Amino acid sequence: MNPEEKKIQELEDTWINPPGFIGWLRIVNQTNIGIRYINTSLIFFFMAGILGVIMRAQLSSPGNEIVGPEMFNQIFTVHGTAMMFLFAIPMVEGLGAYIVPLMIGTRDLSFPRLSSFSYFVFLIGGITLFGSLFLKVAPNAGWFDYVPLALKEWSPGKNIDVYATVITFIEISALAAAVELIVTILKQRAPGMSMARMPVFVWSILVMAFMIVFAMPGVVVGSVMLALDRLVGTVFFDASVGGDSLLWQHLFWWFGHPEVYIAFLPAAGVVSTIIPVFCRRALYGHTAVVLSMVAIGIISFGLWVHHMFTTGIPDQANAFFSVASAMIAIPSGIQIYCWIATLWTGKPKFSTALLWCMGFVIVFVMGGLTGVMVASVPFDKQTHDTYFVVAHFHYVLIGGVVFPLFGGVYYWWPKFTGKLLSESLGKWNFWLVLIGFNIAFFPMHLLGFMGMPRRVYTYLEEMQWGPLNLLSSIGSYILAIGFLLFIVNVVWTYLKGERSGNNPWGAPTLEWAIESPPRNYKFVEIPQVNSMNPLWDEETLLPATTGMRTDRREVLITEILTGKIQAVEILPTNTIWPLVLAVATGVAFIGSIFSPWWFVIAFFLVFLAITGWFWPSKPWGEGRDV
Amino acid sequence: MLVWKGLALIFFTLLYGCEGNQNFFAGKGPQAYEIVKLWWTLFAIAVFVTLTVSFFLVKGAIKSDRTKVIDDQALGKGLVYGIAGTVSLLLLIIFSTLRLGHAPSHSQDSYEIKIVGKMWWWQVYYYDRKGKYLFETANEIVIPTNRSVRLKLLSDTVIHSFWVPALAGKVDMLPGRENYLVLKANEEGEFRGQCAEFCGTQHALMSFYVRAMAQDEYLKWKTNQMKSYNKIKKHSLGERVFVNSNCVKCHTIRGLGTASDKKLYGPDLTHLASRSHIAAATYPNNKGHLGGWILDPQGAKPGNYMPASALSGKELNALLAFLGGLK
Repeated sequence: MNPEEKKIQELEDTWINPPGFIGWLRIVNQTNIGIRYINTSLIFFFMAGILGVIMRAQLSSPGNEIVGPEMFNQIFTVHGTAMMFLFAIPMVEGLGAYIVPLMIGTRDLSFPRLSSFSYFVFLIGGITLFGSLFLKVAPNAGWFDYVPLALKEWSPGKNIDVYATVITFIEISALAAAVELIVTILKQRAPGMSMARMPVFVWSILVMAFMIVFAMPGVVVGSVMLALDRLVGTVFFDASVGGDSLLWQHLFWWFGHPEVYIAFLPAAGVVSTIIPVFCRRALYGHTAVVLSMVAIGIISFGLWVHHMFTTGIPDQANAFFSVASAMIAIPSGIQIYCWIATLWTGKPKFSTALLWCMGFVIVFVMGGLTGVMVASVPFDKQTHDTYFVVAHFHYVLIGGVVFPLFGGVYYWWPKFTGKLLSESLGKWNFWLVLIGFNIAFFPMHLLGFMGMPRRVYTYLEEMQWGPLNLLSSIGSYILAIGFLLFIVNVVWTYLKGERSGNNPWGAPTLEWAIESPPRNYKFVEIPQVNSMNPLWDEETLLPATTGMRTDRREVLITEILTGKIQAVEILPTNTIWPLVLAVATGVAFIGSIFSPWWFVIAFFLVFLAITGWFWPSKPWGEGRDV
Repeated sequence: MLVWKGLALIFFTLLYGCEGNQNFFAGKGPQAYEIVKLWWTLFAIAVFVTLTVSFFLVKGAIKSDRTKVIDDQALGKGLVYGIAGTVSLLLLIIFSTLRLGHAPSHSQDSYEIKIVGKMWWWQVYYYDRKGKYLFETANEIVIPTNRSVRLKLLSDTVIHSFWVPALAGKVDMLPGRENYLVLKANEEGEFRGQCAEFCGTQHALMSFYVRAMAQDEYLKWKTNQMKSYNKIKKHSLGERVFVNSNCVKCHTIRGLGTASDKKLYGPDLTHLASRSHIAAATYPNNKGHLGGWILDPQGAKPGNYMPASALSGKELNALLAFLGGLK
């Protein structure tokens, strides 16, 4: 065995994933956790999508009785909650957790055990939400869960307790992932990758992670107050005894509006990654795009009141938030300009991934424009809480988030699996989704004009909403078939897919410099980065260091701005404690649906789990795992 | 492209071809009318931007001439123009919006009508111009034409939102807060409205009508509504059914019986027969629908707070005759 082979063998042994089911639960490796995040959130996406189709079936004609009002209310609440909390956030976090370390040339996330913990917490939360739907006690007051409807007096069942629990899970998991991503991006970039050389996708994840850190506390406070109001009778939101029903809305939308951009920014980052690759030129206006993303991240915290224009907030305040909301069009416009300029001056190759991005631009522009419309206070007073808004946010969220994320999945699938998804199936997938989407959601604008409020389980025939609703339902079935083709594609690729090699697209970023799928140690040597598009600008990547130890999990720590080497960090190995802690957390929150005492019991469980987690072990790697 | 053309066609047929009775393009009040005008500005901008972006995107993607080098400086110029264009369009939107800033001020306290959002219907109180309470009704709000009427909007349950698209934008009804809305109808007619904020099981069918009448008719209506029920000396069977069965627990008929259950309080029925609809503007007010509603309210609107009544055929007929006489 020559020294090179010996080194690789040692790295394999050091970074090994333990075998067996118990071993699977102990894995902390970032690509495994990332792929779990992506798979789980895609499963929740399809489950929530099925709920959407059920709603469309119920609304396809007036007076339908496929589901009754109570079930319908649970279905739309779970649909919205799952799409936002169990798909959008975890999906972008998962993509970040998988791609970011590879893209910045490191071997793992900074806190591997934390990422494992955050995944399990997310999983328990998601199972709780969908489980409650099967038990018919799912949340039923909408994903924004306005009080006082959500208080004990008007919702005496367990439904809202489930809601408070589930979003608490997601808050914890999102905050953990955000902290992890921030530290990894700031401290673990390959030597030479200064801030200025950081890929746009990494920027978008960085901005997103900071947004989570600033936005989540709003909903953390809100959901804790809600749980306390329901559980022990504090009266934060009860207006009849001095509480305030509007307070919840402020707290929720302080989070809820940035949340939209938390999902959108990484999606835009995916677009900024894919377009240059398939145009064979660097992204035009890299700096402008990055600054736009930072600007969106900041401005998005000044918009939350535009969800509350009709609550009787004074005109002057409304005007401020109205102008701020319109302003977000500027940075969004700059990004769109840069994407078009890149296409215009490059040599586009129409892969499925690029098609998703182009479809995204048009659909997102339409959704953005209706967004500017509802930013206008008088217009919003007519369209707020109608199907016009339903159309608007589906254009923004499906067009602006789902399209690019599917583009991203097509783009990175070879990296995940080593196989290329079928391009021809992929194109069917794209076009059916695009057509079905427009037939499903465009008529909703018009339904809004005709006065159809959102969240209605039925409507009267005399309202004349029937034909457009039927059209929309037909569109939703086409949309569903379009998305099913993705699953078909995945199965087909699994069975017969073509091997991709390491860099099938000829992409410039570091994740394509290593094997597909990556080994657990990712990089045999951490590369030295000398430009923004290293694989385009350099024949071979040179190692930044020599002599990193192979008998323990070492990563390089670099300086935040310049990317100069500072230190070597030793990461922990596989462990069961993150799962134990996640279960203890689950006992606390799920138990609290039934009695506050579970919180006390779980306190001790959490204490035990944390003790186990922090139990001093031999210096990492001295005793190798397995 | 064909899809878009088709959609555009449907779009314009809808806006002009049929005036759905909850269509805000009807614009029968000054506020709603101004918003329709604003919409056309917004719509023109949206069409322009969508077409421009789509054109450049598609052209940029499929154009065959790729030999001419476009340097980054030219692109930079384009970016500056793009930003300038976006900013000016936004300014246009902002100014055309601010022009409409005539929402009612909160400093005045006088109002003629007070509306309280219930689960899932609308309780309506009328006052005279000096603020003296006149009478109570439900689910139908009558206003005079060509005069601004000030509404006070409240809720003692959950959040509802009061919305008559043909006349004005919506205003929420929040527990513990007071909101106001000025309604003005330019012509006579019945305008449908509906709760716009999700408020629970029967949110979907929590609707109402605003009826605009000429001033003299309005006064006549008002005078009639103020009257209490005149008891006949010997109670009719219908009256007795109302008083002795469950009805009076939740429903008031002034002069005959007052609702005793303050929590499950239902609409005031003193002048039920003067309303065009029952069950929060869900069914037309006729004997058949009213009878069906009394016997099986849960079948019609599952989850609402009205229990079914077990009445004999004779009792039901007498009750319906009695209710039908409450003009």
